[in-house]
Amino acid sequence: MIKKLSCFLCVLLLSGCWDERQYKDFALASMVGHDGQANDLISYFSIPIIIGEEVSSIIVKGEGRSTREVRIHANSNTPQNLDVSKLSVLLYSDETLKTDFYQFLDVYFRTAHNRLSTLVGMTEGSTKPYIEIGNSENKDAGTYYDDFIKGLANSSIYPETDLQTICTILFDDGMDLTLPYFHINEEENTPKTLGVALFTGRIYSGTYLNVNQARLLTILKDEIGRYTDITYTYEGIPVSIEVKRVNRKWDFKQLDRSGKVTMSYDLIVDVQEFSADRLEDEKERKELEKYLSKRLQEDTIEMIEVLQQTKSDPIGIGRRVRAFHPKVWEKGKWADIFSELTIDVKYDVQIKRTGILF
Amino acid sequence: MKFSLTKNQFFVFLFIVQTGSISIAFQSPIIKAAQQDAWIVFIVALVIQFFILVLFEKYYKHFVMNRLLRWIYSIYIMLILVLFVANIQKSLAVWVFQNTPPYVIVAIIVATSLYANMSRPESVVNLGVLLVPLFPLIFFFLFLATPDLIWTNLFPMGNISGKEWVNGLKEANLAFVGTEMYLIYRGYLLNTEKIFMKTIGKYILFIGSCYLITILFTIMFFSLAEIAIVPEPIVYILKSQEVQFIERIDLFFIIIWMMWSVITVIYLVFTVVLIFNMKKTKKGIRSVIGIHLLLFIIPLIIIWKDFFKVGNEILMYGYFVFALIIPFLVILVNTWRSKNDQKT
Repeated sequence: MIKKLSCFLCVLLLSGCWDERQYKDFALASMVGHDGQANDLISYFSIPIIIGEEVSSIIVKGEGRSTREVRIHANSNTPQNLDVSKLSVLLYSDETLKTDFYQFLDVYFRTAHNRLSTLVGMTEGSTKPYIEIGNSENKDAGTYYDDFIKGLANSSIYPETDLQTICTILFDDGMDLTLPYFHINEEENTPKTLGVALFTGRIYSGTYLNVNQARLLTILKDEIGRYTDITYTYEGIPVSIEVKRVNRKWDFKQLDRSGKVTMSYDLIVDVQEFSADRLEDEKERKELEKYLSKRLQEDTIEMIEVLQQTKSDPIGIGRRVRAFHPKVWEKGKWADIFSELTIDVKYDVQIKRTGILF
Repeated sequence: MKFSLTKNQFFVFLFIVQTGSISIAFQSPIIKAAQQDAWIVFIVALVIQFFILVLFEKYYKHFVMNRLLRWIYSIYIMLILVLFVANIQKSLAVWVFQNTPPYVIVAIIVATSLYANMSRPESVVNLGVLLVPLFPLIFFFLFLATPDLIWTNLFPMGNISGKEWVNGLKEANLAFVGTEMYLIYRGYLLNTEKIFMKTIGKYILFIGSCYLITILFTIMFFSLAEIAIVPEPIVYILKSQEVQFIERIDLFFIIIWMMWSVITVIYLVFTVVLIFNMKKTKKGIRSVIGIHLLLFIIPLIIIWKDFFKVGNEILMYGYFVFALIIPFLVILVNTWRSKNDQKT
């Protein structure tokens, strides 16, 4: 009898009863878009709904002073409680991120059941049309943009960076954040990647790298994805290469004396297309390798100039300087020091494979 | 109370009591105090701990508790207990049971402890074995975060001030709360078992490696400014990992940690019971129930009045008093007395 009574009492004490979270009680947002500024924020929550066997999505709008308040406001427009614990993607308009980014993220980090693997992107103008396109293209904007951003990681335009990594970078003085930057192609009414947006500290600088420059940045960070395709024109003939491996070596020996950093990269590449078909000749191959190294170097230096003018260090040079050159690090704000560095980039391209043709 | 321990049981017991509920929260304070050099400071604290245990081993026979000391140590252990229970509830409320009333969680922990402490001493002592197979799992999941680690966060090395060293060492002591258990339980070791310096070295190496991995992972995973806002970094690291077969690894870890903490509570209550040899009489059994009643009420007051900060200070300074000052004073006085007795 005592055992039965104890079992019964234990059932009553099952703590799950208080913390039970059933899907039917929540409207799970798969994606959120934030527009406006702090204290005047507008958010669009994309919520997938299932009617019969059909999946579609609705957009719920919320307004308020903070990220949490817009959700509270949006709650009044839905029969269920809005929940963001399964968010796939967060989009922010470029105007929104011209103020401290972290103030919009705090709410996502603070709650234990929120996902930290959510991906983040930035849009040209309001996020609303992007969500609408996502919903019409894929019936669920969250899945659509999740695939979209992961695709950018695959093609080495933007390494997969989730909410947690973003938080770490925002709190790190030695590195600056980048976000994938989208715009809408008016003719096709589809989202396109403009490039990657550059941050200075926690604020969007207003400058971005185009897609090719973004790819070079990914190479510099040694975070290439599955496909890193680059095309140049060599003696009037287009040559496409795929970077297979990156070996990087950074040299800070002259940093303390002359403020110079040398970054050397060995790139192991495969030739994807070269209609001249003459790579069996060792001399010809060496010439092409030399040409590719030179072009990559020129383009990278141009890209680094943009970074220095923007005072944005997404490569993470600051982390090394902070670790091993405290005297330079303590000279002032890293953004200012970075903008005045002499950064020398060297490439050594080595063609390993040419496919089944020469 | 008659029971004896093997060497392995003794060290498993000590390991569980020392790691207990502290294991998920001690990294942040030490890193806040000693910055990126926290791991070096911790190694120094570990060496100090090694020598303390070596001294304990050499002189444990002289640590004889009189009635006053029994009361003092029982009160101190009760203090650790109520703070542990309150902290366990706090962490569970943050990570898993946000809406469950605190009294329910505290009641479940206390009821489990009461049940265990009414059982035979051998059953209580062997509870720790339950955790052994779960232990590698924690590190398996933690190592999933390896690709996200930033090794440059460990540098520059040896760059902190003397004040930061002192504060770091002070915070590092939180990891060794329960050291005095060595003296209390050493007498229960089987006569056939011997503990050498090498044995203590192995124990320190093991517990130190476990702690050190968590400190290194925390430093390399977060930026220093970020650590300041994350009170339980290890759970946070696990939360940020996404694997195919489980959505939230942190919950899995929290469940293991909860078992860990409950067994620590059981062990600590068992120690109080042991100090007063309570189980012999009906009065003793009533006292065991009384201890558990206190263990139910006081943590709820700590939670209600939010006394956590004061509590953690008590734990930190309590270590100095109860694991260092009092044991060495007692050992010194008793050694002097025994020498005097021999002379007379």
